[in-house]
Amino acid sequence: MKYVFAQNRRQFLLGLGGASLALPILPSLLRMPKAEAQALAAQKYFAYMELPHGAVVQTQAFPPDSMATEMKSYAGFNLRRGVLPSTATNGDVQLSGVLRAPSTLLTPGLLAKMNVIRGVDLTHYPGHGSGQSLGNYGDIVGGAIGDGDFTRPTIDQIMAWAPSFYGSTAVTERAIVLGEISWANSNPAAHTGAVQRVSQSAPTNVALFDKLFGSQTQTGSGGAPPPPNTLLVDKVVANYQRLISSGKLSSVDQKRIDDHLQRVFELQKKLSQPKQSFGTIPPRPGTATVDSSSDGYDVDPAAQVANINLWTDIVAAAFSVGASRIFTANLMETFSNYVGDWHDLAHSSEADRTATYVKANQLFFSGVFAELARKLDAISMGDGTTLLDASLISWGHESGSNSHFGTGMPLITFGSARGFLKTGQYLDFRNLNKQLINPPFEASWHGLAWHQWLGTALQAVGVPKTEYAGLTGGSAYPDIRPGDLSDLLPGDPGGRYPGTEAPYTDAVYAAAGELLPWMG
Amino acid sequence: MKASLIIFLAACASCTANVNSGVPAHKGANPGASSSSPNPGATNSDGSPLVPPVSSTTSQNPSGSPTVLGPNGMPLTAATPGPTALRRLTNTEYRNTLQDLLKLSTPPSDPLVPETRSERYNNFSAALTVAPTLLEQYQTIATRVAAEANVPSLAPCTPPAAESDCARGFVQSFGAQAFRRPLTADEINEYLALYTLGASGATYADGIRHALETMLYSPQLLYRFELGTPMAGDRRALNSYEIAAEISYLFAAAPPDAELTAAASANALSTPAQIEVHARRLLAQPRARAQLRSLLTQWLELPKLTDLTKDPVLYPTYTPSVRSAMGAESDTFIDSVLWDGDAKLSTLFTAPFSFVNAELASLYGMPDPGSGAALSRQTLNSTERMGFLTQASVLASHAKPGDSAPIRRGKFVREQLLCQALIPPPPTLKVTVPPPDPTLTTRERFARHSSDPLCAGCHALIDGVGFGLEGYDAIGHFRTEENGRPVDVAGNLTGTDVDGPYSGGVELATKLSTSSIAAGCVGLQAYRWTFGRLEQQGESEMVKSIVAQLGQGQLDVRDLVVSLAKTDSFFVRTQLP
Repeated sequence: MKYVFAQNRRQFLLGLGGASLALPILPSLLRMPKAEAQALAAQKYFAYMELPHGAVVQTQAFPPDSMATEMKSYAGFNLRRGVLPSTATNGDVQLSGVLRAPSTLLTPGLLAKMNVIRGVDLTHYPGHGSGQSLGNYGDIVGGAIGDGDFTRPTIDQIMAWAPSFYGSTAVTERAIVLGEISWANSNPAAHTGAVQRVSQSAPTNVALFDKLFGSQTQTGSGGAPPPPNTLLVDKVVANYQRLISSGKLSSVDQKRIDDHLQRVFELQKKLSQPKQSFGTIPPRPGTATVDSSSDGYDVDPAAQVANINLWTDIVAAAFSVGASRIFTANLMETFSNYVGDWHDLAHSSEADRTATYVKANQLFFSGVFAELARKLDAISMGDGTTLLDASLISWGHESGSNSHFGTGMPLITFGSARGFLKTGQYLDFRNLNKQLINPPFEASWHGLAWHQWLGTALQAVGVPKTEYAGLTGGSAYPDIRPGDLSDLLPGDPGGRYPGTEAPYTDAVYAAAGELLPWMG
Repeated sequence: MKASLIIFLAACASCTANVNSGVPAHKGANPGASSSSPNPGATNSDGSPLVPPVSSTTSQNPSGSPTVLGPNGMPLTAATPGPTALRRLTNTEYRNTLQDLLKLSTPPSDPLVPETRSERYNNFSAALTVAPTLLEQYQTIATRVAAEANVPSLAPCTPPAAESDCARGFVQSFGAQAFRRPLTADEINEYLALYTLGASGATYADGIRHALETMLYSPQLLYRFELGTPMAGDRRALNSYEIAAEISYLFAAAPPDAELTAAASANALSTPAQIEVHARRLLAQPRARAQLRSLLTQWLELPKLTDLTKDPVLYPTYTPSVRSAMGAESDTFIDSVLWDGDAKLSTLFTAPFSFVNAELASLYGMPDPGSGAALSRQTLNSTERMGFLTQASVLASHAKPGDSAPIRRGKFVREQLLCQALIPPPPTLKVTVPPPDPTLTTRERFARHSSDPLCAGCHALIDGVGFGLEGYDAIGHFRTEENGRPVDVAGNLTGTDVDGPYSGGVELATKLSTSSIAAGCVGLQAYRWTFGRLEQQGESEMVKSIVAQLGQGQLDVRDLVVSLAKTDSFFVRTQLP
């Protein structure tokens, strides 16, 4: 089997293209030694993968309404839930057109760890950007909710630097980032400094492997070991400290250097951490050079699936040995052989896009996302639970069922974060009294606020509200309440239901500080 | 319509009284900077000009400012010099620095976290922090380039020379280039110790690489030091090495070359004349083209073009290749005017030519130049286009995904081309946006705001500018009709020194080309880019003076930057607490 290792396409467009390295599947990585499992007994894991555009028609994205058999009133309207069935037909379990996978993959056990969530909305105009579905509203092309500064750290970075998440635990990569999705303060530990985009962790999956587990190819001339990096960092630290003590710096520059020094300490900590402390370092696999810049990759869904699965192999390995416990990805792969412009297709009519988008999303679900869940579920924690049980992994979209709509956002999760979340459910949080009917766009409904999902995720992995700035009250994130006007592109029909009540009421925002209903 | 627009519209209620007088408010980019005094010529209710004509005074010493002596006894007169600063290298500066230090054929292309922009520029020191990922990238790059360094070239050592002596020579010479100043004795010893450690049990080359890698990772390389030495009071005089770096990074985005280093060593960078010699010399080198292009494209906010999206249903011809050609057109046009032409600001505004390929020609309604994808210099239809203001890159960048956004374009002209800042709206003001209406033109939809008394104040300033550009749609295509209705391109400038009605983008460009306010604004924008910060009190007056001396709209952009490098602000800093 041929594996293709394309860099993230945005990276490639920035001129980083070229050949990269092939890495075989790493089944040997997917084991957790007992000792390491015990050491990691209290820790939790988070993953979020995002596909661009959304634009998946709801009738294919979600299970049928009939699956939701229970109802309760919440935030001023009625919500619905049901249990995910595990019935297989012709070898497949099919919850919806998109949520379909072989019963050998989507087993009853895995389904019991899954949630399908509907009716959690981005309450602002979701333009193209990076990280908005993780809480950063400040990088949306065209300006989304004003010219103000709505740039915020994304929740993966909040977790990564929260004292309650890693604490003093050694970690190689606080958050593995693939693509453009992650944002952090320049001094993320102190929550100070400008919020900046966090770059992809490594240009290729092999580079990520080396970063996490160390390259076995580094030697000095004549086979001598290279000088220790820790000394290098120590030297730099001394240099910076001498600068700080020079008395010539203003308080502003002092702060600048202090922040820089904190980064150096963090890096020093990583470099000086013996890799062995994580347990058995998997062997670096053999490599072979392939051309990842080939045009064919863009229209080769099998290669794309294989490529991303190799990334998640390394993620699973990193999770299993504690080298990292966070993974976020904004994937530019289409998972389709569609040769036209994927963005344009998302903007095309429902009839034109549905079949292609549903097929692609189904492939991603079955071939990548559920596959990641399976990998994590195959790693025993030594106490009868699996790495998936300790995790919250999730799949979201850049926008809703119509491109640039914040409604109709599919949200799929696996894992209970060590029993913090209830799973195995279909959760329908739409307010059926607030329907948007804007032909030719598919009808959708306002529901609960995405803030509530982000707060739920933070709470699930153990990050308390005291460690981030969210909406007043409860754990909602971020601390921005967009206006009630759903701010759509000019030329599009209005983006709100026709009623007079605000699409997202005070009650909805007040509830956003709680765990999502039925999940706690 | 986006709320970003709403916010701007919402400024209407009070903005007339709050429009700045062409001296933009300090927004904290330079903590400790004092606010500009209100300009007595600010807008009045009787409609008198927002901004007075630029003063013709040639004095660069505002009344009452302290006069202190520089390190060489030269009077230094800047009223409030900018603060001392550590200026982190921009990504371009960092890459060029490594290229020069390591004698690479091209700059390293390793990924680097993009700079955070402040006031639209990517080189404001206050915004250039080091995020964790960037630090790791620095470390990764340092390790890589050190491992790949050509040691025999960088640190030659041939017997009978002792390797320790060769290493000392390398530390001294390479260190001086990397730190942009001679190393202290302690520093030399420290790096020699690193060499020794690296070479221990290994080779001379390993030791050199170890020392080299450490230097590449040091604050002295990653930051430009503008700390100076004490003068009177809180003033600090930059030393000759700091000035050498200032000149070099300004005109070449690279560390000082041998001539600049020699001048610094001879303390021969202490007068404006000495600065000008090196500035002119560097202007003749290729990197200066990219630098001045960077200034002008950032001023026009063209970097946003990279990610600019348009509604594909409304604008199916806006393809990635067209977008790329738009950016290339502006780059080529700027290069042509600055390096093959007269470099005058007025030419940038009014040049009758531009550079198009087949796709752009189609967008512009011009004949295919027959150059395929390559850009070709073509004469523009003088009734439709002229200079940068009517280029698709500028028009598309200041439009919305689905419409021409006259308010946004008006705001761009007011703020970026005339340096007239508008105050944000009161948060309580609720504005109803005009809904899409296929039976109206964009102007007709927005016209209601102009008639709303709450909005009329600002719209008198904004609409008159933005509506005049309605002859171009969201991707810069020239149009005479919209939604089957004729497009009204009548505009009216107020609050400027070129007030009056005009029709369309060509006439607007013509008016602005003769505006001393616009010329002063370009001076101010260049000043910000030159120093990586907002202007301090007194500095904007100094810039106006320089622009006046250079002939207002007839100024040569290259001369402008050279002149800025000769000001007191180039030599002196203020030590902040």
